[in-house]
Amino acid sequence: MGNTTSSPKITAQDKAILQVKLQKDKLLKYQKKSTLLIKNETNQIKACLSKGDKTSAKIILKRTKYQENLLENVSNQILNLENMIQNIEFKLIEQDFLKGLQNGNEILKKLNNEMKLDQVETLMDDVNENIQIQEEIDQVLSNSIVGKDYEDEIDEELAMLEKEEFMKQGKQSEQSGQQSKDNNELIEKLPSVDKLQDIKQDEEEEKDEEPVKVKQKKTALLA
Amino acid sequence: MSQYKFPQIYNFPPFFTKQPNEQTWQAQLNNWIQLILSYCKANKVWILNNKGEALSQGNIEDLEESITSLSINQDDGISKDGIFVNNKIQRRLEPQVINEIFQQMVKNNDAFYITKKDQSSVFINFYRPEDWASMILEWIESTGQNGTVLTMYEISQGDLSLNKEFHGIHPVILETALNVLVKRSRAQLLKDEDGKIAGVKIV
Repeated sequence: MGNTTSSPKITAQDKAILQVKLQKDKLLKYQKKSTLLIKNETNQIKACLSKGDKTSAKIILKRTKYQENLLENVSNQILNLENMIQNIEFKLIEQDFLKGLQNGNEILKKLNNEMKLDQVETLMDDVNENIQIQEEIDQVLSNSIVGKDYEDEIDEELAMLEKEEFMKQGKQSEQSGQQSKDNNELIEKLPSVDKLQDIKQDEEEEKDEEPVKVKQKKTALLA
Repeated sequence: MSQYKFPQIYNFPPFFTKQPNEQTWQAQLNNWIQLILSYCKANKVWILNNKGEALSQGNIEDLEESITSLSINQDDGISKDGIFVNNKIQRRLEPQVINEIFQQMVKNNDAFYITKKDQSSVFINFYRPEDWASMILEWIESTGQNGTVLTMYEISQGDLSLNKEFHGIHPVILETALNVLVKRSRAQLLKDEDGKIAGVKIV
């Protein structure tokens, strides 16, 4: 029986609990037997009474009373044993709980020993320093990517464009003054066919340019 | 005896005579075994004798009553409800045939003899010991009783096992089931001073 090493081991507590439980079982069996006996005896009493045999009925009744008395004692004892078993089982659980707490405490201690306060402080300082360095590097990197020269160029170009725009506006206001003259000139120019062709060519050129731009945009989007 | 509904073949007269044809006899034998197993399962018959009477049945705690009532039947020599007697069609199975059925059942592990010498009665494994073992293990786990010591009485009669199939199980059959668990290293048996199994620790 259970010669294998991995089979559950029986401890002294197990044996003790078993003893108590066996006692309880015995009492339970006794309880069952007694109730059965009492039942039989009450039946007997009824039978005796129906026969008119009062004396034997009385004797049996005495026995029954005695049995009932015992039965009550047995019930109390069963209750006691049950309490006892529950207490033992709970104590075992408490023991396990204490063991668990102890183990946890030891592990915590070990871990705390591994992490000395000085070490942690220097480590934290180190980490802080490193973070600062990282931040500096970040700044440098973000600056150098969008180079200053490049930015200056952009500014210059923007200023130029602004100037041009400004100039155009100035010219336009001048042109509006000259428009009446220009119109006259245009009318004069109109009949000549050569010049018309020139204008047409210009228009075509513009048209050619536009699709290219659109294409470029598209490729840009795709990219 | 119970609400058990016998299969139709039970009212078929040739069923009670051993068929000479070997093949037919094998089929008949199997039918009988199935009938016995389902009958015993429905009535919780633990021990069946070769008169077809249940010597131990139902919750084992009421054993004393059932035995006394049964012994009266035995004295009569004629069983009232024996499984091998069908009064309706006035047929009974010959003892020799019954013994052959028992032999086959023992071979199939559907039953085992009470003792090696006494082959007049068998314990019926209407559940295999492995099945009982699984049921008990499942119960142990679902009730959180792993690692606690249980008495045999607690398993078969305890309040915690009240609605379980194995409530009221015969101690001998319970022992076979527990031995399965011991072989699987899931249980350890505890014996009392007389060497009888008193309790078990199941993990």
